[in-house]
Amino acid sequence: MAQVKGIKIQTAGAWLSLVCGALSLVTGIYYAVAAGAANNFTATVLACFLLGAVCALAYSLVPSDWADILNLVAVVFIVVAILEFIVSSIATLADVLSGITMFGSSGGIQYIAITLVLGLIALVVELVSCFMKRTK
Amino acid sequence: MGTISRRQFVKGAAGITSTVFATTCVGAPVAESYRGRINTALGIDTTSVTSSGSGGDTTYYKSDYGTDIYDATALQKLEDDCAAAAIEEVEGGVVLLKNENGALPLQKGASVTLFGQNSFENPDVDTASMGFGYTGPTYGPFYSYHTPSDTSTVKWVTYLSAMQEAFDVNPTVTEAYQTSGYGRVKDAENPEVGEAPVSLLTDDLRASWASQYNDAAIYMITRQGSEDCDLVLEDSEGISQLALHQNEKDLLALLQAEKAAGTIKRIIVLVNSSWAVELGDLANYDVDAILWVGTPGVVGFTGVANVLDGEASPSGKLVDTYAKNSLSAPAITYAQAKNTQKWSNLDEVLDTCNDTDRFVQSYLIYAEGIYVGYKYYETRYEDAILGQGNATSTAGSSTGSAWNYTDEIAYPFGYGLSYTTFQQTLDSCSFDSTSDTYTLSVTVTNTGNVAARSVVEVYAQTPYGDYEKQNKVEKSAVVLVGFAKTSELEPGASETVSVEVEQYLLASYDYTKAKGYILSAGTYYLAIGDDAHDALNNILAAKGAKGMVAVDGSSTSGDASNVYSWSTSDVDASRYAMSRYVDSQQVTNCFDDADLNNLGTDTITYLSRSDWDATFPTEPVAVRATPDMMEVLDGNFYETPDDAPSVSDFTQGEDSGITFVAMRDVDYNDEETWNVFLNQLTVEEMASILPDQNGSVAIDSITMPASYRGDDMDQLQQVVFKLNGESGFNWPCAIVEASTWDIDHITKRSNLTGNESIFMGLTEIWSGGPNIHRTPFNGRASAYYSEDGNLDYLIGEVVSRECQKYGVILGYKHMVLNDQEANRESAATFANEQAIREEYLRAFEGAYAKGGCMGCMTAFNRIGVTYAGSCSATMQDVMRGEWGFKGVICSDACVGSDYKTHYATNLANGLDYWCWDMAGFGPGSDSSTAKLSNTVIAEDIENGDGYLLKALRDATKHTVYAQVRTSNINGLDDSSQIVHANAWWENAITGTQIVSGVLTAGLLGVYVYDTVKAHKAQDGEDKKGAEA
Repeated sequence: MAQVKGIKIQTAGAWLSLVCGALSLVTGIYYAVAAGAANNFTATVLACFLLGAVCALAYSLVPSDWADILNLVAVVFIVVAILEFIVSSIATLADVLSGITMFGSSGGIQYIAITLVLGLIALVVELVSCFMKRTK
Repeated sequence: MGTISRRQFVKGAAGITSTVFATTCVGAPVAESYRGRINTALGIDTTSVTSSGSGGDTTYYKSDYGTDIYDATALQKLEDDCAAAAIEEVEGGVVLLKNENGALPLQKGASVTLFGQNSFENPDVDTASMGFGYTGPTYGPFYSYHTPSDTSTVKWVTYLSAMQEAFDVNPTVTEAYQTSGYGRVKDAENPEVGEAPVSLLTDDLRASWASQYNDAAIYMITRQGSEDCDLVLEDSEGISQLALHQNEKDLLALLQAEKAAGTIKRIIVLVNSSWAVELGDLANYDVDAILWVGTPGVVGFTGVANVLDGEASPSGKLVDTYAKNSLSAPAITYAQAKNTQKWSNLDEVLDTCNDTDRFVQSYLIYAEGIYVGYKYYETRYEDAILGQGNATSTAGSSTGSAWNYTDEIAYPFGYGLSYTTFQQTLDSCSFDSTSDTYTLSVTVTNTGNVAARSVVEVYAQTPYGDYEKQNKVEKSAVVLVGFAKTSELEPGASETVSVEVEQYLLASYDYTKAKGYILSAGTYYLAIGDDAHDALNNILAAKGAKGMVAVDGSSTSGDASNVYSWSTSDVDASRYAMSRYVDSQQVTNCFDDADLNNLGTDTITYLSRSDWDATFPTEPVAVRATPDMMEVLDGNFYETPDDAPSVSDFTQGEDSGITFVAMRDVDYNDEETWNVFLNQLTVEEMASILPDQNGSVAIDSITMPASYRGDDMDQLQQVVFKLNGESGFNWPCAIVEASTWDIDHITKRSNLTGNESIFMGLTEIWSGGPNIHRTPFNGRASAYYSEDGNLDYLIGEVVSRECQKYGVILGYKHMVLNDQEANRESAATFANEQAIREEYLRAFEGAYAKGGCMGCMTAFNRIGVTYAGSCSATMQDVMRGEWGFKGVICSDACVGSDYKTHYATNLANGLDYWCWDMAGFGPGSDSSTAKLSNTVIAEDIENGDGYLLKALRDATKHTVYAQVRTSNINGLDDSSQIVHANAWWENAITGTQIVSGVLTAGLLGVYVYDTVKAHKAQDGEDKKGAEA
């Protein structure tokens, strides 16, 4: 397998977690920028995305046996990030679904959709990695 | 890749179960917050009542369709009766605006071609969403969640199917429109009228009507607004959305050419709109007949077809003025999104106010005063005829030339033709001082050759003299004060009808000197007429005026014989100084704070007929919000009064054995009994019914069942039929109902809706109705009766009384000055007290003060700078004080918005419960905390606020007083008890949470065990290797 800065990424599971980590990082940054612009920023969401990213990346890159559980931990962080994000976006989602402005929309639906898609991809990727070995 | 080891499988499985577990952990509180809404959507009742049945007949409120609300046959009969009544309503409510050369009625089975993209549903498009973006006619009503297809028990009749039933319809053109791909687009800022370009009608298509399908070209013009979506003053074509657009003009030109060529025999235009489309231009296209059909609901197009083929003769009359230029009204200067203003010191306001920016920034000024709709156009007309008040100046003129009635008006308020002609004669007029009413006797004779009904409209003109000019008391040249509709009269037949007119409706509100209602000194006129303009011409004839013009611009001399007049010598400020409805209650100014001229900031000149030129609003006034205004804008202005009672002054939780149902006949003013009853309840119990989610919770200790609330008189939704979970009947919109001018029909429709509510277990109907059409652009106008406060006053009384007698609270909305959807949330609305009382409050007054209406929903907007849900002037001073209102007042939907949820301020100023009081979860400042009204109020009282405890007791009394007069008490007796149950979805969430939590823990345990075991094995192998 490939080698990243001296660290061997030996399996597809490790690669998937690396992808998940990168995606979570991107999602977190995108969320921070977009939600901030929409006046809908929640620190919990960003923290969970970033912690998820750290865990996923550590799973791939840290050569410790005890890091083997980190992709599962990443799953939990990312799930919480997504759920908290949905909850904080309820007002906008309600306005969009009902077709009227009454529930307190913050920003448009676009950034919500993008954040959700990115986050869900990261989640699914990391869930798959949980079923796979980290090392040969 | 190889096979998955047990350890990896366990970890992956733990990932899935932990995902589920986290979802339930985060989602459960959210679902709990929305529990009521979820249960309403799923049709779940989580409380029920058990009883030993020893109380005898406990069906206090009975349906006309039997006592078993699960009886499918009875329900179907009810819905079929609704459908029949709706067809009758449309037949009596559509308005024939033009009918030349006997164009209508058509022969049944005539061969016709239907034109207009909005005439057709596209069969390939999902019809479930119906609203904007949907291609087809507008059926209404126009809540985002309303759809004609929601009425399950009555088959939906499309326009096309109704026309095919009556006529031989050109299938080729129909198919072309159905498959064209054109349609309306939902875009509040840039809506489209949805008409296809005329190029769609290719030569091949035109050939389809060359030899047949040419008895008539029937073109339907459609407009649509909705909740939260006004029509716009200027759209992408740079014109009013109510103007004829280029594609419409092109099609009309084509039809005109086809008619000129002899291909098409006649052109008939149907106006499918609740909004007053500019119809003046139709005169340029040789149109033979125009029929306004409004938005006729789920079966109403059958009634339209019945009128077109002569099975019924139209007898509706307009309830709005149809101006040639929809932008010509003075109210337009401050209206809709384009003309809503922002404070001139906006930055300071945003810095000062804590509520969300968009909730504190905008304002409207009703600079037109009382001159709304016909009251503007007809008054200016009289002054133009009489040469007074600079009425013929160019200010407000649509042409840029001297103001001229004929240039401005296509069809006036009250206008409507028939397939026959009538002669109306004013026989007599008498006054009864005991009832304080005038009674006019009018003989109506059918002078044509078709059986039909006729509407008798009575208008008043009251004096406008020096006192009025000096004290800013404005007077409309005509005001509708009464009406009646004949039975169907055969040709040659006559009927004498009596119309009662309350003298109160002749009074004017003097907000500067008398600070109350006055009867002016001078000459009064009561006149009948075919419409407001015709009645005014009769009055002008009685005054000896010359130079009058009829609606079509022709000269007329009016008919003085249809006018009754009398004179008084003194201004009478005492007659209505005290409330007509409540003993010893003075009627005086309550809305000085809503008049910008009293607030110490920029001032406004209200439109006055004393000088139309100098006072016509042209440019909006920039207004600076003062510190005092900002304090109120910020919403949280309640402070415990110094003389407030203490919490210990009240007794709570002292059981006296008085149940909820035992209060059903207790008089509102029986304070002793009410206090004993209220003493039984704890603060927490009383607070528990403050938050609403389409209903409020039960109170077990007094056996008060949960309540169930939903929209709307045009279609009962949200709460559904117990039998089948479906919504109520989809009626023609409120404007069609009002356009019947038929109290008997309005009574019937109200009775039917009351019956529906029993089959739903519905305790309160939140419903539009009395807000007036200040401009023709209000997106929600279809839910409001008319542009006239007096017409709404007369209708609201009947609807309230006739609906509520079936045991349901009619909760009219939106109280008050809520006349546009743009910036509907929190726009500060300024007006003078004469306009507020004679127009906007008058529209509600009949329902509350005379009809016994027991519910009220306040509006999103502000009255002055005070949020409507915190406005004691309306809720306390006028409604409860002057009108004697005894029912329950709620906010409009709160949904976590900060400016609507200053709970203590709301409660202290008269609000009784909060509609859709659900936690806001967003991080933005516009979301309230997770503490809802019940928690906040209970905490305030626990902290020693006795004033709020008194307010909470009052709110509880109001709620109980209203609720105990609903069908909610059916089945209750002394042995009754409330039984609670969880909804299935709550059990599902809890179960899933437990299972996924246990599985996650177990899988993690296995994973850790396997990991440790693997490490030990590895260590062992490493050790062996080292030893080796």
